[in-house]
Amino acid sequence: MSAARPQLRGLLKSQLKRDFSIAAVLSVGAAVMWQAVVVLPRKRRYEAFLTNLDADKEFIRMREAGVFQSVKPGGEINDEAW
Amino acid sequence: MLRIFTSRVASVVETAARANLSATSIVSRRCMSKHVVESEEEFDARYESFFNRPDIDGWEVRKAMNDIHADDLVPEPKIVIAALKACRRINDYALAVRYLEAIKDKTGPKQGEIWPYMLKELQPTLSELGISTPEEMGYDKPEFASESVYDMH
Amino acid sequence: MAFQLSRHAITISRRALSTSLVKSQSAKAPALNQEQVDSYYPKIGNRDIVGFGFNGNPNYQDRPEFPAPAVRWAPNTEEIQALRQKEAGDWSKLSMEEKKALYRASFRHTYAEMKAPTGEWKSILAGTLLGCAVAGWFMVWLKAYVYPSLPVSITDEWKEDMLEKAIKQQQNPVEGVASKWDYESNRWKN
Repeated sequence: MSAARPQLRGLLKSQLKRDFSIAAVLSVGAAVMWQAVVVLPRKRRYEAFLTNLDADKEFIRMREAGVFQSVKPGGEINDEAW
Repeated sequence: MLRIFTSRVASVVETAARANLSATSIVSRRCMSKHVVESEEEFDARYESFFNRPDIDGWEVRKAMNDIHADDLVPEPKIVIAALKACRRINDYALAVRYLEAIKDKTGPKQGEIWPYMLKELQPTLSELGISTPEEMGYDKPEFASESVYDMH
Repeated sequence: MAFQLSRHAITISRRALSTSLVKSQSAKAPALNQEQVDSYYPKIGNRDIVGFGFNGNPNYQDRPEFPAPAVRWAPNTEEIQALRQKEAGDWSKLSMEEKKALYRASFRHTYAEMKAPTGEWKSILAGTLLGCAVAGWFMVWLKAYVYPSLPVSITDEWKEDMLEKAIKQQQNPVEGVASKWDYESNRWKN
């Protein structure tokens, strides 16, 4: 089996070209995956939450749970807090 | 103005004279300012004709070997043949084997592909000159180990 | 006068920088002045200076990227001188021991020996792990003798109260703890 003449020149150059193209493909792939798996779902979740948000209802629920210092459950202003 | 010109000329003469005396002023591929691009055949021909000079001495053989070893290429078989014949002319057997080892190392990850091809091309010259390959000498494996220079205090 | 000097200078400098290969003026060995002899030869002893090397000094170093160092490895002895006589003749008449002796006279290590693994990684790993062990024992001593006791907020009751408060305050409603709570039916989402 006689081998054809192998490449003798520019071995490092060809290796670097191959390495850089692999690195470029992997980087772009990683960025696309990140967008698809993390960024876009997160944006959709925020959108869903904020469009369906009723802030006043949430305020009343929190007030009744007794979370606030300035207003008591039931709606009365709390003057003793400060 | 004339004084500045002559002083600059004098410094050029000084450096050129020093370069000539130091026996290292030979192989420079590029002029200082112009970017000389030569073709592969010219490059090969230059090194081959350099090694083929009948009056070459050990200093220049080593210089050319170190220089071509620094480039991103494995030397063409014809250049290696010329280098081995130059080693024969300067009567340095060890340098010939060293250079064969250097080329084998230069092939890097493609050693299995390139080295057998090289050996096939070089075999006539090796038999003609009586040079053993590193494998025949047993130097493809380490023969002994020495203390690292960094551990010597 | 200055014009002739400049033309002469250009001729010399062009020759020094030329791409053609000009034979240098030194023949076999470099021409050293007395000062250089005094500084080099005590260090290199009886060794031949055979080339420029990698930095111009007559030193020896096994480097894969510089196959030909500046000095021979072994000093010239009687046996080596005899071998050199034989080297001037036919190389196929040299025995394998003589070939190896010639190689070892000029070079310290073969490429295989240069690049052989040293096993240094074992001592490096051992030293690193030793450092980690010392640090670990130091941390044990700190815990036993230095650190104050843990705060009450580390207990499970406190943490459950904190979680309850977080849900009431609707902390992190989009991605965090409140997003996992179903406020309509007052239980965790599945």
